[in-house]
Amino acid sequence: MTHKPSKTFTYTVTARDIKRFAQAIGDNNPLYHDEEFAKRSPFGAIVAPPLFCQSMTFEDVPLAELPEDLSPSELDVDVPAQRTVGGSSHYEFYQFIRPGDEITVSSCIDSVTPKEGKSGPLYLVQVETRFTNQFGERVAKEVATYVKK
Amino acid sequence: MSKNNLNLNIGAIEEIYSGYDLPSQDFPIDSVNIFMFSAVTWNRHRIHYDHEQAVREGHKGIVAQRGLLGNFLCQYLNSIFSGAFIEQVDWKVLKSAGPGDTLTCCGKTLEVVPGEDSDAAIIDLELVNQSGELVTSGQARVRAIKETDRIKPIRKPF
Repeated sequence: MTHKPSKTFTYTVTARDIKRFAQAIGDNNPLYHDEEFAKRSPFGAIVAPPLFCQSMTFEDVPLAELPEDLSPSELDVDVPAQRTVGGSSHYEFYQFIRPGDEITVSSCIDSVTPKEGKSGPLYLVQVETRFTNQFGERVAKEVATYVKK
Repeated sequence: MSKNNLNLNIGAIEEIYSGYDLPSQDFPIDSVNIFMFSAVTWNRHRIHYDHEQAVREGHKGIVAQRGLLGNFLCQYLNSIFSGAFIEQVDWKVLKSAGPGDTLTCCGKTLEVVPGEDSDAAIIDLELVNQSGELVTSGQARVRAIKETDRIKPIRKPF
Protein backbone atom coordinates (compact mmCIF):
# COMPACT_ATOMS: atom_id res chain seq x y z
CA MET A 1 0.00 0.00 0.00
CA THR A 2 1.40 3.39 -1.02
CA HIS A 3 1.02 6.31 1.38
CA LYS A 4 1.34 9.84 0.04
CA PRO A 5 3.80 11.99 1.97
CA SER A 6 2.59 14.48 4.58
CA LYS A 7 1.58 17.89 3.29
CA THR A 8 2.27 21.26 4.86
CA PHE A 9 1.10 24.65 3.66
CA THR A 10 0.37 28.09 5.20
CA TYR A 11 -2.55 30.48 4.75
CA THR A 12 -3.06 34.03 6.02
CA VAL A 13 -6.57 34.38 7.41
CA THR A 14 -8.46 37.52 6.44
CA ALA A 15 -11.64 39.03 7.89
CA ARG A 16 -13.23 38.32 4.51
CA ASP A 17 -12.35 34.60 4.73
CA ILE A 18 -14.06 34.42 8.12
CA LYS A 19 -17.11 36.33 6.89
CA ARG A 20 -17.44 34.07 3.85
CA PHE A 21 -17.09 30.89 5.90
CA ALA A 22 -19.81 32.07 8.30
CA GLN A 23 -22.08 32.83 5.35
CA ALA A 24 -21.39 29.41 3.84
CA ILE A 25 -22.45 27.61 7.03
CA GLY A 26 -25.51 29.86 7.38
CA ASP A 27 -24.32 31.43 10.64
CA ASN A 28 -25.31 35.09 10.91
CA ASN A 29 -23.61 35.69 14.27
CA PRO A 30 -22.23 39.27 14.08
CA LEU A 31 -19.20 38.09 16.05
CA TYR A 32 -17.88 36.75 12.74
CA HIS A 33 -18.18 39.95 10.69
CA ASP A 34 -19.04 43.02 12.80
CA GLU A 35 -15.92 44.54 14.37
CA GLU A 36 -17.79 46.89 16.69
CA PHE A 37 -20.06 44.12 17.97
CA ALA A 38 -17.10 41.79 18.44
CA LYS A 39 -15.14 44.48 20.33
CA ARG A 40 -17.98 44.87 22.84
CA SER A 41 -18.43 41.10 23.21
CA PRO A 42 -16.52 38.91 25.69
CA PHE A 43 -14.35 37.82 22.72
CA GLY A 44 -12.89 41.32 22.29
CA ALA A 45 -12.49 41.09 18.52
CA ILE A 46 -13.70 39.14 15.50
CA VAL A 47 -13.05 35.43 15.80
CA ALA A 48 -13.63 32.64 13.30
CA PRO A 49 -16.35 30.01 13.73
CA PRO A 50 -14.97 26.91 15.50
CA LEU A 51 -14.68 24.77 12.38
CA PHE A 52 -13.19 27.51 10.20
CA CYS A 53 -10.14 25.25 9.90
CA GLN A 54 -12.16 23.23 7.42
CA SER A 55 -11.71 26.00 4.87
CA MET A 56 -7.95 25.38 4.95
CA THR A 57 -7.85 21.60 5.17
CA PHE A 58 -7.92 20.67 1.49
CA GLU A 59 -4.95 21.78 -0.54
CA ASP A 60 -5.50 23.99 -3.61
CA VAL A 61 -4.45 21.41 -6.17
CA PRO A 62 -5.59 21.57 -9.82
CA LEU A 63 -8.44 19.30 -10.90
CA ALA A 64 -6.03 17.08 -12.84
CA GLU A 65 -4.38 16.08 -9.56
CA LEU A 66 -7.65 14.89 -7.98
CA PRO A 67 -9.01 11.34 -8.22
CA GLU A 68 -11.74 10.60 -10.79
CA ASP A 69 -14.57 11.36 -8.34
CA LEU A 70 -12.81 14.66 -7.50
CA SER A 71 -12.63 13.73 -3.83
CA PRO A 72 -9.86 15.52 -1.92
CA SER A 73 -6.31 14.59 -2.89
CA GLU A 74 -5.50 14.08 0.81
CA LEU A 75 -7.56 10.86 0.64
CA ASP A 76 -5.98 9.50 -2.50
CA VAL A 77 -4.60 6.24 -1.14
CA ASP A 78 -3.85 3.19 -3.19
CA VAL A 79 -6.72 0.86 -2.28
CA PRO A 80 -9.15 -1.01 -4.60
CA ALA A 81 -12.07 1.37 -3.95
CA GLN A 82 -14.01 3.78 -6.19
CA ARG A 83 -16.12 5.76 -3.73
CA THR A 84 -15.35 7.98 -0.75
CA VAL A 85 -17.66 9.28 1.97
CA GLY A 86 -16.91 11.20 5.16
CA GLY A 87 -17.35 9.09 8.27
CA SER A 88 -16.39 10.90 11.45
CA SER A 89 -14.37 13.77 12.86
CA HIS A 90 -12.64 14.48 16.12
CA TYR A 91 -11.65 18.12 16.59
CA GLU A 92 -9.66 19.67 19.41
CA PHE A 93 -9.45 23.45 19.67
CA TYR A 94 -6.75 25.26 21.61
CA GLN A 95 -7.43 28.91 20.77
CA PHE A 96 -9.53 31.15 18.56
CA ILE A 97 -8.49 31.98 15.01
CA ARG A 98 -8.61 35.71 14.22
CA PRO A 99 -8.01 37.85 11.13
CA GLY A 100 -4.29 38.19 10.45
CA ASP A 101 -3.37 34.75 11.73
CA GLU A 102 -1.00 32.75 9.57
CA ILE A 103 -2.14 29.18 9.89
CA THR A 104 0.11 26.32 8.93
CA VAL A 105 -1.77 23.18 8.00
CA SER A 106 0.01 19.87 8.23
CA SER A 107 -1.74 16.65 7.35
CA CYS A 108 -0.86 13.02 7.00
CA ILE A 109 -2.64 9.73 6.64
CA ASP A 110 -2.48 8.00 10.00
CA SER A 111 -3.85 4.64 8.98
CA VAL A 112 -5.75 2.69 6.36
CA THR A 113 -7.77 -0.13 7.88
CA PRO A 114 -9.54 -2.76 5.77
CA LYS A 115 -12.98 -3.84 7.02
CA GLU A 116 -15.79 -6.05 5.80
CA GLY A 117 -18.90 -3.92 5.24
CA LYS A 118 -22.51 -4.97 4.55
CA SER A 119 -21.96 -4.58 0.80
CA GLY A 120 -18.38 -5.81 0.60
CA PRO A 121 -14.91 -4.73 1.60
CA LEU A 122 -14.24 -1.16 2.64
CA TYR A 123 -11.30 0.84 3.92
CA LEU A 124 -11.25 3.32 6.78
CA VAL A 125 -8.77 6.09 6.00
CA GLN A 126 -7.75 8.11 9.04
CA VAL A 127 -6.23 11.53 8.36
CA GLU A 128 -4.70 13.72 11.05
CA THR A 129 -4.45 17.46 10.39
CA ARG A 130 -2.73 19.92 12.71
CA PHE A 131 -3.16 23.68 12.60
CA THR A 132 -0.58 26.00 14.14
CA ASN A 133 -0.29 29.78 14.05
CA GLN A 134 2.49 32.26 13.23
CA PHE A 135 3.81 31.95 16.80
CA GLY A 136 4.17 28.20 16.48
CA GLU A 137 1.24 27.71 18.86
CA ARG A 138 -1.30 24.94 18.50
CA VAL A 139 -4.63 26.17 17.19
CA ALA A 140 -6.56 23.00 16.42
CA LYS A 141 -6.24 19.36 15.51
CA GLU A 142 -8.56 17.12 13.53
CA VAL A 143 -8.58 13.38 13.21
CA ALA A 144 -11.01 12.53 10.41
CA THR A 145 -12.04 9.09 9.26
CA TYR A 146 -13.22 8.60 5.68
CA VAL A 147 -14.79 5.47 4.24
CA LYS A 148 -13.56 4.24 0.86
CA LYS A 149 -15.46 1.39 -0.80
CA MET B 1 -35.80 27.02 29.88
CA SER B 2 -35.89 28.79 26.54
CA LYS B 3 -33.03 28.92 24.06
CA ASN B 4 -30.22 31.38 24.73
CA ASN B 5 -31.08 31.66 28.42
CA LEU B 6 -27.95 29.79 29.37
CA ASN B 7 -24.91 32.02 29.42
CA LEU B 8 -21.70 30.14 29.79
CA ASN B 9 -19.94 33.03 31.47
CA ILE B 10 -17.35 32.18 34.05
CA GLY B 11 -19.09 30.54 36.96
CA ALA B 12 -22.45 30.38 35.25
CA ILE B 13 -21.98 26.83 34.05
CA GLU B 14 -22.95 25.64 37.52
CA GLU B 15 -26.47 26.57 36.44
CA ILE B 16 -26.62 23.46 34.31
CA TYR B 17 -26.27 19.93 35.56
CA SER B 18 -25.77 16.38 34.34
CA GLY B 19 -28.76 15.04 32.45
CA TYR B 20 -29.93 18.53 31.47
CA ASP B 21 -31.85 18.41 28.17
CA LEU B 22 -30.93 21.40 26.05
CA PRO B 23 -33.49 23.02 23.74
CA SER B 24 -33.54 21.80 20.15
CA GLN B 25 -32.76 23.77 17.00
CA ASP B 26 -33.69 23.00 13.38
CA PHE B 27 -31.27 23.15 10.45
CA PRO B 28 -32.98 22.92 7.05
CA ILE B 29 -30.67 21.85 4.22
CA ASP B 30 -30.89 22.90 0.59
CA SER B 31 -28.61 22.54 -2.41
CA VAL B 32 -27.35 26.11 -1.94
CA ASN B 33 -26.04 25.33 1.57
CA ILE B 34 -24.22 22.32 0.22
CA PHE B 35 -22.81 24.20 -2.77
CA MET B 36 -21.57 27.08 -0.60
CA PHE B 37 -19.90 24.74 1.85
CA SER B 38 -18.13 22.91 -0.98
CA ALA B 39 -16.99 26.25 -2.38
CA VAL B 40 -15.67 27.68 0.88
CA THR B 41 -13.81 24.48 1.73
CA TRP B 42 -12.58 23.98 -1.87
CA ASN B 43 -14.07 20.50 -1.76
CA ARG B 44 -14.75 19.45 -5.35
CA HIS B 45 -16.01 15.94 -4.57
CA ARG B 46 -18.78 15.24 -7.11
CA ILE B 47 -21.28 13.70 -4.68
CA HIS B 48 -21.89 17.16 -3.21
CA TYR B 49 -23.21 18.73 -6.46
CA ASP B 50 -23.58 16.08 -9.18
CA HIS B 51 -26.94 14.40 -8.58
CA GLU B 52 -26.42 11.58 -11.11
CA GLN B 53 -23.00 10.73 -9.74
CA ALA B 54 -24.36 10.73 -6.17
CA VAL B 55 -27.17 8.35 -7.21
CA ARG B 56 -24.66 6.09 -9.03
CA GLU B 57 -22.76 5.88 -5.75
CA GLY B 58 -25.89 4.71 -3.92
CA HIS B 59 -27.14 7.98 -2.41
CA LYS B 60 -30.65 9.44 -2.72
CA GLY B 61 -29.18 12.54 -4.30
CA ILE B 62 -26.46 15.05 -3.54
CA VAL B 63 -25.00 14.61 -0.10
CA ALA B 64 -24.45 17.17 2.66
CA GLN B 65 -20.81 17.22 3.73
CA ARG B 66 -19.70 15.68 7.02
CA GLY B 67 -18.11 19.06 7.74
CA LEU B 68 -21.36 20.96 7.24
CA LEU B 69 -23.09 18.68 9.75
CA GLY B 70 -20.29 19.39 12.23
CA ASN B 71 -20.91 23.10 11.78
CA PHE B 72 -24.57 22.62 12.65
CA LEU B 73 -23.45 21.05 15.95
CA CYS B 74 -21.08 23.93 16.72
CA GLN B 75 -23.65 26.54 15.71
CA TYR B 76 -26.14 24.85 18.03
CA LEU B 77 -23.69 24.93 20.95
CA ASN B 78 -22.82 28.58 20.32
CA SER B 79 -26.47 29.58 20.10
CA ILE B 80 -27.13 28.08 23.53
CA PHE B 81 -23.88 28.87 25.32
CA SER B 82 -23.05 32.46 24.44
CA GLY B 83 -19.49 33.38 25.38
CA ALA B 84 -18.32 29.80 25.14
CA PHE B 85 -15.19 28.13 23.89
CA ILE B 86 -15.66 24.72 22.34
CA GLU B 87 -12.64 22.70 23.41
CA GLN B 88 -13.54 19.54 21.57
CA VAL B 89 -16.20 18.21 19.25
CA ASP B 90 -16.59 14.72 17.81
CA TRP B 91 -19.24 13.56 15.41
CA LYS B 92 -20.03 10.56 13.29
CA VAL B 93 -22.25 10.49 10.20
CA LEU B 94 -24.63 7.54 10.45
CA LYS B 95 -26.93 8.37 7.56
CA SER B 96 -26.69 10.66 4.54
CA ALA B 97 -28.56 13.97 4.53
CA GLY B 98 -29.31 16.16 1.55
CA PRO B 99 -31.49 18.91 0.10
CA GLY B 100 -35.03 18.90 1.51
CA ASP B 101 -33.97 17.38 4.82
CA THR B 102 -34.44 19.31 8.04
CA LEU B 103 -32.10 18.21 10.79
CA THR B 104 -33.10 18.83 14.38
CA CYS B 105 -30.18 19.23 16.73
CA CYS B 106 -30.68 18.06 20.32
CA GLY B 107 -28.24 18.07 23.19
CA LYS B 108 -27.96 16.76 26.70
CA THR B 109 -25.42 17.62 29.37
CA LEU B 110 -23.67 14.41 30.34
CA GLU B 111 -21.33 15.85 32.90
CA VAL B 112 -20.10 19.12 34.36
CA VAL B 113 -16.35 18.91 34.95
CA PRO B 114 -14.75 21.33 37.43
CA GLY B 115 -11.85 23.28 35.94
CA GLU B 116 -9.16 25.64 37.24
CA ASP B 117 -10.73 28.87 35.93
CA SER B 118 -13.99 27.61 34.56
CA ASP B 119 -16.06 24.47 34.62
CA ALA B 120 -16.61 22.57 31.41
CA ALA B 121 -19.70 20.77 30.22
CA ILE B 122 -19.66 17.51 28.28
CA ILE B 123 -22.60 17.60 25.88
CA ASP B 124 -24.10 14.66 24.00
CA LEU B 125 -25.33 15.75 20.57
CA GLU B 126 -27.64 14.37 17.91
CA LEU B 127 -28.89 15.44 14.51
CA VAL B 128 -32.19 13.75 13.65
CA ASN B 129 -33.96 14.11 10.30
CA GLN B 130 -37.65 14.88 9.69
CA SER B 131 -38.42 11.12 9.68
CA GLY B 132 -36.93 10.70 13.13
CA GLU B 133 -33.81 8.94 11.81
CA LEU B 134 -30.52 9.57 13.53
CA VAL B 135 -28.21 11.23 10.98
CA THR B 136 -25.30 12.22 13.22
CA SER B 137 -24.28 11.53 16.77
CA GLY B 138 -21.61 13.46 18.57
CA GLN B 139 -20.17 14.84 21.75
CA ALA B 140 -18.57 18.15 22.70
CA ARG B 141 -16.70 19.70 25.58
CA VAL B 142 -17.51 23.36 26.14
CA ARG B 143 -16.17 25.87 28.67
CA ALA B 144 -16.55 29.57 29.31
CA ILE B 145 -14.00 31.80 27.62
CA LYS B 146 -11.18 33.02 29.84
CA GLU B 147 -9.33 36.32 29.91
CA THR B 148 -6.35 34.52 28.36
CA ASP B 149 -8.50 33.66 25.34
CA ARG B 150 -8.84 37.41 24.72
CA ILE B 151 -5.24 38.46 25.29
CA LYS B 152 -3.14 37.70 22.26
CA PRO B 153 0.18 39.01 21.04
CA ILE B 154 -0.05 41.74 18.38
CA ARG B 155 -0.72 40.12 15.07
CA LYS B 156 0.91 41.07 11.82
CA PRO B 157 -1.27 43.34 9.68
CA PHE B 158 -2.72 41.91 6.51
